Amino acid sequence: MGADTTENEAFLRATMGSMDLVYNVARRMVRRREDVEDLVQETYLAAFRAWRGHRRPERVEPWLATICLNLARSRFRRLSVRPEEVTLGQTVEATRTAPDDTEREALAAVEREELYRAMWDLPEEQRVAITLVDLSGLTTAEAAEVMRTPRGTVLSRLHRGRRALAVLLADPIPEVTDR
Amino acid sequence: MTRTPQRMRPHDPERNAAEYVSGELPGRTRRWFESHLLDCEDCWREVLLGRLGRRLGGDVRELAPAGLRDRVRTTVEVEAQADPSGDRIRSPWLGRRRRHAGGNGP
Repeated sequence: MGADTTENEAFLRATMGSMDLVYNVARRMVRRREDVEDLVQETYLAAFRAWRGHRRPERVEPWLATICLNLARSRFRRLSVRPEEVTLGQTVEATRTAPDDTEREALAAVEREELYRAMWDLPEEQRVAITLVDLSGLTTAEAAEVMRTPRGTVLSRLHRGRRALAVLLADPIPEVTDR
Repeated sequence: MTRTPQRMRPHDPERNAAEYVSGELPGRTRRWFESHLLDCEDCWREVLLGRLGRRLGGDVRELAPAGLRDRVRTTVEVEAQADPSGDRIRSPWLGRRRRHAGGNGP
């Protein structure tokens, strides 16, 4: 028990700071929040079992992201098509702080919803590349390891995903003369 | 005249823009690319789109719910008490989806 407690505490100390990263990866792989939370828990459980088996990573973030992605693909795949249960109205209500802020926050919520939809409209590999690099702060080399693909492929997926988001959501980009 | 760094050849606006926007071009290559941007319409456009897309992609970042942190901690602590060589104690949280899914969950 004593050894387990030490191991357990060391694991939590090493990994709990990466919870937001795992949560964001999970959020881009399955839609419903309860499934997202299950995926995060299973990721930590699988990571802890590996940790107990003395498989310690050099860097915790890419390791947890890899476990999360693998679990999402192997066990949560069918859940990715289930629609998210949170409605726009709930999002607005949850973030409202004062009457004066209502309009601005409603607009922000609309933009956020559009962004979520646009992310889900991306091909999975582009969505994963953006999640790992732009949301989670991994390098493209680390993302390549997580995705088990060459770095050049990650760069291509990353850029195509970014471009698709920009084209879908943004105003026309400035003319090149505005340099 | 600045010579094109070896690692930038062949010219690939998509890849070059992705590396540049991600901040992964090393100093000399980055300086070359920034100079190149002034003359290359394709690269300039890809960099503008890439920057915008990177910002938008980062805008969906969320914090994990506080309750989830507690549940994960509990799950790991329960697992830590299980016999590592034998039957593990199932996390009380991991049964939830199976119950919701009528026993058909993974």
